[in-house]
Amino acid sequence: MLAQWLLLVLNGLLVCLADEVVENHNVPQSDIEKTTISYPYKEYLELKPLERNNMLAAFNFEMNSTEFEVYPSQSRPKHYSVFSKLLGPILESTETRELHLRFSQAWYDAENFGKLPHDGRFSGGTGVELWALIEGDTQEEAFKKWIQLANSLSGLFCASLNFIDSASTTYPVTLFKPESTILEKVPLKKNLYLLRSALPREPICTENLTPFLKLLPAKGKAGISSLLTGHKVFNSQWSSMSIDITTECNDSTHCYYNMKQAINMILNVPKTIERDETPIPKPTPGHLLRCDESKKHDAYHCFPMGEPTDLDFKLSTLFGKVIKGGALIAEQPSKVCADVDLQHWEVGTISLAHVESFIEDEKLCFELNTLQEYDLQFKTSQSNKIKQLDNPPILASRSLSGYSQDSGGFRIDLFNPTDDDESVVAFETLPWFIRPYLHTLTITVNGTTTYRVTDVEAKDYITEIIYNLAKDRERPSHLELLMSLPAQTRLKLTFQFDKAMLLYAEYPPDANHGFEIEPAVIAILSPSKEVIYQMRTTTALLTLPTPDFSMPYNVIILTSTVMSLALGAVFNLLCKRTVTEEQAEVELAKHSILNKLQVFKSKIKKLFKKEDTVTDVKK
Amino acid sequence: MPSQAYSFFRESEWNFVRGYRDEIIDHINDSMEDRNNMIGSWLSEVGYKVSRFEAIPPFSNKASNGTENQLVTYGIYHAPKGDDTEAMVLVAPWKTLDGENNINGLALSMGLARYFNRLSIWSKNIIVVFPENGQDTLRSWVDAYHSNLDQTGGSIESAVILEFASDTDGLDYIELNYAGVNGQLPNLDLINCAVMISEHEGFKVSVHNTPLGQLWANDYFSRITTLLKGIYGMATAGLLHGVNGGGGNGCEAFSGWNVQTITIIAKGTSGKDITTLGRVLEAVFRSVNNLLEKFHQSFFFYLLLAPRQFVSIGNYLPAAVLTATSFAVASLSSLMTNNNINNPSTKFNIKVVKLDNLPLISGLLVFMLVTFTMIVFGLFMIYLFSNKIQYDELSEDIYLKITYGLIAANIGSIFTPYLTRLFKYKSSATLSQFVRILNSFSLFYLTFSFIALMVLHFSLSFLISIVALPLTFVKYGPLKRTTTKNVLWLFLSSPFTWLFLLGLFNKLDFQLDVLRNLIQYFEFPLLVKEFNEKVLTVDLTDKELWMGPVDLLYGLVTGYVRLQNWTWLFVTFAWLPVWFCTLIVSCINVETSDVVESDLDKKDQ
Repeated sequence: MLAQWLLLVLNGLLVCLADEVVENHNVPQSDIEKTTISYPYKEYLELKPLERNNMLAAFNFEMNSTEFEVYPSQSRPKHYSVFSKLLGPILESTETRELHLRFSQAWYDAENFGKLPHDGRFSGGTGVELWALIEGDTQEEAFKKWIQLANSLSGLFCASLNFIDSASTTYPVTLFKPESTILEKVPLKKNLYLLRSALPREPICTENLTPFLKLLPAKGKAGISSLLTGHKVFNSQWSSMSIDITTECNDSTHCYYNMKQAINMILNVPKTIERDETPIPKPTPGHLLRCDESKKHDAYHCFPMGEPTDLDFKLSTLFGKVIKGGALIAEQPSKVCADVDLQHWEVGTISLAHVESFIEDEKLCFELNTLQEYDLQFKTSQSNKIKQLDNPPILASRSLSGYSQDSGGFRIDLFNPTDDDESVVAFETLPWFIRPYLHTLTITVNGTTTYRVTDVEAKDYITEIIYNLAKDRERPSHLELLMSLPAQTRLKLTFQFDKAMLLYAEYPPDANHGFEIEPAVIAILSPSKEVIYQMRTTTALLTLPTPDFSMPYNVIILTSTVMSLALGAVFNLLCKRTVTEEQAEVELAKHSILNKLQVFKSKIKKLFKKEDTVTDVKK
Repeated sequence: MPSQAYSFFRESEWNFVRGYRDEIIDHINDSMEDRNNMIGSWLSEVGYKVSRFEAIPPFSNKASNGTENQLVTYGIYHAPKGDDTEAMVLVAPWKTLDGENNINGLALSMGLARYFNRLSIWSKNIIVVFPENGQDTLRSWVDAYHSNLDQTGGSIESAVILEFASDTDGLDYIELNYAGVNGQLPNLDLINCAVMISEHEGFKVSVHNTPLGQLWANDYFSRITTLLKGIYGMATAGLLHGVNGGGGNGCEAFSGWNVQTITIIAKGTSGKDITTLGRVLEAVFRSVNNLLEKFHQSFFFYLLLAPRQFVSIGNYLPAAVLTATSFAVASLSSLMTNNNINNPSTKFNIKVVKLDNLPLISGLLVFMLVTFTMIVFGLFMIYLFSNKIQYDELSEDIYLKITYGLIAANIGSIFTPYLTRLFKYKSSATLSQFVRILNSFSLFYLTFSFIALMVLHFSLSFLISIVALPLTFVKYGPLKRTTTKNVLWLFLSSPFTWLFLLGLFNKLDFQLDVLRNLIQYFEFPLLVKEFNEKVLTVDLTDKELWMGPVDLLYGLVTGYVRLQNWTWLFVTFAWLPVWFCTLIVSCINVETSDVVESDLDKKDQ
């Protein structure tokens, strides 16, 4: 009964959404699941166990808009089909040909998690990252549109993208290259500009996920996206959301937007289960303690064992929800794959519907082609037996050096664990209040030999430097270092910088915790200069010399006090007369009440005397 | 509020602490390599990113045989969901300050590390560090963290050093240590936080080695005792070595990087259980973790009177200003010829006091020459001690000879005025002016050195200005009349006298609290008892006692290289040159008055 009702609702939805729905409208309801109405939309979930009982959940969504003309000869109402109606007008009004947005948080543990999913193409650094390809006559025009774009997206995604300004925007050279086919197929009328900015400070939270899900045709109500809730996604060990929109064209009149949305997250299975079972942490009860039997253990002593290796959990334990049916409007059924070592893991579906499993790329996959609820169960006694993880081709980290208030340094550690030489780009954007000195750039090879950038030997490692100088309050420093990193080699790059003083009003309030420096992007390039793998370091926290702002107020108060005291004294000196004690006594005596009375008395006496004299005269 | 969250570091967590402790007791005497491997494997089992750092000691510690590299194992817990920019550090050195094995400290740190990993509240990374000792090795690690370590966890906000040497389950009270080198202190908020949490968990907190029996006293006398101990402790932070390969209090190691550091030392063996201490540490970490902002910049200058009472800089700085001013007054007084005892003291008139160019220039030149020589001497000592001779059993004799040689030479030089008395020469007005310039200018220089030091390192400036005060009493005139007094003043104000005295003092088990009790609750039999027990039992033939000045000199001279401690630089750049200038002043026979009688007479007429 419920299912039928759902179908009705779905049918109604389709009517609203699609143009061509008319021809299918009369199809009997029971046949709807088998009909061929389909929209250019695909979704795919991959689950992959990692080291130390972690689990990668990779949600991928892809959709296309209907076709449109790049430069329409006349204005016509537009339809976008499954592509979001919210984004289309923004892209058109700002002539954005490509848009990439990343929301990420937390530290990626390459040792346990292996390579970044999709070679890091869909993973950002901590915070929000945005880059776009914008068409415009001049750079100024493109920048204007960029700000417009950022402001529109800010409202859409509940992120502080409106804080993007010229002081945080760069024009990348070697990285973030456009991929749209519009570049090849359509003769463009204006120039293209690639702009990029990042907001490392932005905390990623539920309010960013909700609009993200709203862009999906099923809006998180059906399909794999029905698993996603804020408190599970953001309670993960690491998470990254991405949106990539490109303009694909056959010729200038047949173009469409292609949008890829992805959420990659890593969950720690035992921790997630524990949080479900005991939301308030408690000490492990005595009978559940897992002690190392080879060492001393009794009722009081226990040497803890490592992580448990027998796991039995469902998707609903990890996500708190089940999959509410497949996304039936997609051109291919929603697919869920488990990338597990089948010798040690059992994966089964729990659903009223019949689910066929099949093997694809050595993964166990399921198609969700009904509206029934689906759940997956994972069981293993040896959770440490997983498929061999791909090791990342590069390991990189960045730290701050030094302790001074007015200067400091960065060091970037790069390690090539592979047996091939790599050509690497390190992309750094530093805010204007960091003033780097490139002449202090040094390279240490394998921790032994150090070269300065001016040395001839350094040219073996640093092949090219692209550097745009910062301008106070207007432009960040933009540094791209092209390096060749020999096999099995550690490189340590260091450079020094000065910290600028800010203007009075530019300082954040006293209760701040420093200035975040956006992550450096490290990428490996192929010989044809295409990005093979990319990763981000973590953000860095910089403290600037902060004056004690309460001091001026203290000084003002102190000086005011002194001045008022001084004023009192000076005023007294000016207005009062200094007299000797004798004079004062005389004066005092004059002003005493007794004296006044006497004076009064004598006056009255005088008065009477006068009268007497007058009468005397008359007499 | 700190310590408000209910902590579950109790019950079965105690079993884990005991489990780790059993293993540590079994392996505490293993080689350094094995111990570090063991703790490293435990940490990575728990889920920390473990790295190892090899501290190359600039000069080895006295008991850490030879030049072996010291290992530091540290684990970073990158907080999930956190932005990986800030870190809190928990340090458990293998040896405590007193050179004992830090068994419970290590076990509790491991237990806490494991426990922290289970909590999901962290927004800052947690770094657990296990250095060999809390001074040189830890310092090298902190230095490397800020210059070349590969594995880092962001800016370090706070550090807690944990020392708990016993292997029992209980402890009586907590001792809090916080003094860093060069007068650098942790933010008072952190100290208040730790005190509040400890008291909330039922511990008494002791600052500056206050013994258990005195922790309930909070009157004028107990506060002034703590104040004095605090001033002494801050002035000597980083100078004193732990015995048997232990280190300093750990706070010294983090000085200079704006890391708020406190050392928590568990004392006693009965009373509260070890997990209670664990809960104190957890609450301190939670408090720092919950900070959304930096520690406030105006809570770094204070003196503690009791764990919960402090004096702020505005109230205590005038004390150092006054002592420094006494030198300025003395300098001025000397310039006005008051130090020349030939002068008629009352009849001063600025117009008749002459100052010629020759004595002015030569006086300044001699002052500069002396200062320069002393600076060269100080730097040479640093070079000698830090590069040329290892400080170990082998070269103990060399150090002994150098130290006592210097002390003897210095004390011997005090008596030179007796020698110069033997030479007869004609005293002139020029000579008198020269002495006057040398005397006044050197005192003036010392005043400014004190004032420059005062704001940064109140305690050092204050203490040195008090012990150097006799320099202002030195007068010149006919040597027969001045020598004996001057020799006394010079002896009292000599840096090497104080090196000798403080060196011996450090090796004696002196407690100011005991003295306070004797005075405050005076009873003669008690005094006699204490005197018999404490003073008469001192073994003067003990070599360790006489090594006191040697240890102190070593700590002073190498302080700059090891911990960036300026004390030796201040001594050789300011105190010693002025002392020598004063010595020169008191060696010269001045028999003429600055005021020419005839001029004075003319004026009077």
